[in-house]
Amino acid sequence: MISCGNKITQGFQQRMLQQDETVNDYFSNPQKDYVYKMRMEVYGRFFGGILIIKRLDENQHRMVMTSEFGSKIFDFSFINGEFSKDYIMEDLDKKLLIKTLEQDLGILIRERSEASRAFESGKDLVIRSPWENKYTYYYSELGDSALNKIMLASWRKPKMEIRFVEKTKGQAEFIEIHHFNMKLDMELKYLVKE
Amino acid sequence: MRSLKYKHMPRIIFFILTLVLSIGISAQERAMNTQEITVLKAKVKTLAEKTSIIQSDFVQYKHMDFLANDIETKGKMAYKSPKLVKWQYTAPFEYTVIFKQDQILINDGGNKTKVDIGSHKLFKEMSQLVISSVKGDMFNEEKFNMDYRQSTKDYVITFVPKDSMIKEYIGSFVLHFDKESAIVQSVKMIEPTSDYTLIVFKNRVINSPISDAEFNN
Repeated sequence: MISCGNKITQGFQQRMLQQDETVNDYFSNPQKDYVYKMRMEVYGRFFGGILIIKRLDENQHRMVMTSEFGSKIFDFSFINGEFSKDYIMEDLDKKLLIKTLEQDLGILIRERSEASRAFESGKDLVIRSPWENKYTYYYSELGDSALNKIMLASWRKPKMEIRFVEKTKGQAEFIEIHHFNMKLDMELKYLVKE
Repeated sequence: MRSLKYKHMPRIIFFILTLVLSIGISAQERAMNTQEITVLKAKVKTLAEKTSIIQSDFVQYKHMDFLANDIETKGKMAYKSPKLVKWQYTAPFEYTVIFKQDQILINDGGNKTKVDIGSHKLFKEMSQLVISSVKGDMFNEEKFNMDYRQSTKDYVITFVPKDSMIKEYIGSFVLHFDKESAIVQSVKMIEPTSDYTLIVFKNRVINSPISDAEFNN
C-alpha cells in the first residue's frame, strides 16, 4: 500500500497505471444532437433553458443554450481545446461566469485526457489527469468502464464535480454539476429519447 | 449526337425541375395589393375586438442549422384580455411562464420564480410581442416594417422589427393567418443568423371562460 501526500487521494490505494489516457465518450458521437433541459442555481437565483451540445468534427464541439422560448442565451465553441465565445446575452456577459462555464463545459465534453495516476477507492477506479494547474479525477466502478464522476481539484481541495447520475446505453441522461467553492449548481436532463 | 443529348440530360432535367419548382413557389405565394392588405387588417381587427379569451395547444420547433433535428416541444397557451398570457410547456418537460401585469411568473418543473419586468426592457417587449402575435394584432408601423404575401389558404405576413434591441435577437417574425377566419396559424421567429423558432397552434378555442386563477403560479 502506498499513501499519497495529496489530500484528495488520501485513503486511496495507488494502482499500477495500465492506460495512457482516460476516455469520456458521452459527447463524442457527431451524428447525435445532445439536447438537455438545463437548470442553474447561481447564488440562490434560478434560471434555466435548453443546452445543446454537438460534436461538429474530430476537434470541435459547439454548445448553445437557449431559453425555453428558443431565444439564444449563449453560443460557445471548443476548437482543438480552445474556447471561443461566439455569443452571450448581455445580462450574463460576466467574466467570472463565462470562465466558470468554459471550465465546466470544457471538462464535461473533453473526450480524451492523459492518465497520470491510477487509484482504487472502495469500489471505484480513479484515474488522475492534469488539468491546467489542477487535476481532474475520473471515477468509474472497478470492472465497469462507464464513467460515473469527474472531479476537478487542486492538490488540497475539490473545486467542482460532474456526476453522471443516470446513464442508459452509453448516454448520460441526468448530469449534476456542483461547485465546492461557490454557490453554483447545474442540472442537465437529456431530452431526446431514441 | 445521341451521346451529346445524354451528356446534357442531367442538366436539362435539373433546369426543368428548377423551373417547375420556382413556378410552384410563386404560385404558392404572391404579394398582396393595397386593397387586399386593407381587407386583411380589417378582418384581423374585427377578430381581435371580439376575442377576449384564447386557449390553444401548440407545437414549437427550434431549428438550428448545425443540428440534425429540430428540437420539438409541446404545450398549451392561454390568453385573457387585456394582458394575461400563459405558456405552458408539457412535453418533453414541464415549464410554465405567465405574463401578468408587470411581472413574469416562471414555474420550472416546480421551481417558482418571479421576474420584475418593469425594469427589464427586453422581457417587456417580448411580452408585448407574445400578446400581439397571439391576437394577430401586430400591424404597428412604428415598430415593424411589414411585407404582405398570400397563398391560396394563408396570408403570410413578415414583420421586421425596427427596435435595435429586438433586432439583436430577432431578424423577423413570420405569421401565417388563415384566410377565412384571420386566425393566426403559426408564428416563426427568425434570428439574425437564420436559425428560427416556429410555433404552430392547434385546437384553438375562442372566448371559452377561463378563471383568473389559471394565471397564478
